[in-house]
Amino acid sequence: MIRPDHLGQRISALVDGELGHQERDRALAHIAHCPSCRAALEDERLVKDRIASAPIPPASPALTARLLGLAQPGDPMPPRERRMPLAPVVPTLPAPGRRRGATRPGDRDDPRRPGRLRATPLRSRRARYAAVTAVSAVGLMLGTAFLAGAAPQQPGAPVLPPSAELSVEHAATTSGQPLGDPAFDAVTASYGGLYFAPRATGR
Amino acid sequence: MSRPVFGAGRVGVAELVAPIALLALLLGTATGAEPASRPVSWVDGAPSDARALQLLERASQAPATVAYHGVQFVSAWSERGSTSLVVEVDHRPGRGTTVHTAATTENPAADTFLPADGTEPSVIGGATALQRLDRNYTIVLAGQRWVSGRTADLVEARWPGSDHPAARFWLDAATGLVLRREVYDEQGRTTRASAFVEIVVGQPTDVQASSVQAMPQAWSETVDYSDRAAMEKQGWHCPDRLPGALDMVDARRGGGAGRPILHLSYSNGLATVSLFEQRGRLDAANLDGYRRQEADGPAVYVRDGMPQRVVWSAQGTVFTLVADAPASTVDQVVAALPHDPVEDGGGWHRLGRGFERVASWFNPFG
Repeated sequence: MIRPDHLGQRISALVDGELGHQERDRALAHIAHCPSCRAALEDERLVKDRIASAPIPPASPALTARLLGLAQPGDPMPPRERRMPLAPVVPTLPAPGRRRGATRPGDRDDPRRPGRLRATPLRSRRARYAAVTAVSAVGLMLGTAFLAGAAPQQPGAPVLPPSAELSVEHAATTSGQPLGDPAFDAVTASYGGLYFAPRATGR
Repeated sequence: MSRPVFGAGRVGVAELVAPIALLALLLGTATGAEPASRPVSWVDGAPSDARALQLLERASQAPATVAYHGVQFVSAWSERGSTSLVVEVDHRPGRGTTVHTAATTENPAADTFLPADGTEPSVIGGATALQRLDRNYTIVLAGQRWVSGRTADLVEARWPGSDHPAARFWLDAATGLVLRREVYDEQGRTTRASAFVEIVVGQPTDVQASSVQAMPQAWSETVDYSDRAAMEKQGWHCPDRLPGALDMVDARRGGGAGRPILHLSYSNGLATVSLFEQRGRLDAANLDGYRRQEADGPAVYVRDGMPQRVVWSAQGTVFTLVADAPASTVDQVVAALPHDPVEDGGGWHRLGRGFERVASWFNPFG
């Protein structure tokens, strides 16, 4: 259990140099006569030094490819949700000495504001997931419909008309008719008719 | 089978092939001029010439009393090609006509005997061929010509409402026999022609008709009006009339009990069309000699020639059209018969059909 008068978590701030001037003096005075806090300070510095001196492991090729892929142009982003103002927007002048559009540390639009850099990629990633999911769903629906929409096969057994028999039957019903052409009827019965040799022009 | 022997000392078929082919070529070239499109309106045109009708009536009865033999060519033309054959013909009244076709590079030699007692049209109450010709065309006498050294009366069957002929008949002035005939399409192009280049009238030859295989008779089982009405209820298609003023003149059934085939014959006095129907779907993969045609309409399979053949299947029936008619008439007839909807009218059509089908899977009442 840490005594209330010990440094506790201020040891990390002391190592990182984040304590103010007076706070730093009080912490150092306490360490001078407190063996436990001195030991804790030594441990903290040792851990930090080891972390700082540890080699950076190389990124895996897959991770590199994914990271590079994030920079590639992708699907259009969904439109940003914008709240409609309840009151008419009144244009305001920037404060004196401040350029239009400039931000101060801690402002809502300040890109250095904590959480800003993490929140924007998260929304982008979610939007990307939503877009990919939607496109996949639409593709699946269209693919299913395309496959299901194949032309139905006609009913019945396959039939190959008996060409020679039908030719004779046709000639038999026209043969002997008034003004008929016996020679043509005979050719139809014998050969199925006069078949054309295709023209050389390919018409 | 022995080849019939025609009269000795006359010009043989082989010697006539070259001049006949030249004649057919010249005829085709002469009629190959750029046509003028004239759509046919099948309405009553000008009245026919009574004298021309008498000559046609005489011509239709001449084979019953006049014997003849000779050599003639048979030719056909279309935009897809042309072809000709030379045949020897021997006709004996009351018996029939023997036709010998010499062997060519395309076809072997063939002998066919056409019995005189040909098939009578089975549709009761129908008009005769001459009556249909007179009703649908205007028959006029166009003068006299010479054919194969004989005087012939030239009779024209003109398109309704037009001065252009649909067919011309050169009728022997002495006997009435048809010495030459030509058939034209609506654009005036010759589609079919046959003519004697040599003919001897009244002298029978020594052809042994009994040794020649007779052409089979038409299917014996006729289909009357009540039968057709019952068959239509079972899904058969039996129109009384087809485009081109084609009236049903004959209806028969063949093919046996296992694979019945319905045969409907149509004619307008000049063009003849046979419509065959079989139950099933077309085995298109095994069709030989046909080309697939789907421009401006449903897909059908066509074999170019005279007669022209068109095959397709729809609504569980395979339709085979055998048509001795102008190409435009054939197109109209094909379009007037049943066809399944165009299957792939594009990806959107297929997607729409797919969504309907998927929705039906989830429809508990479907």
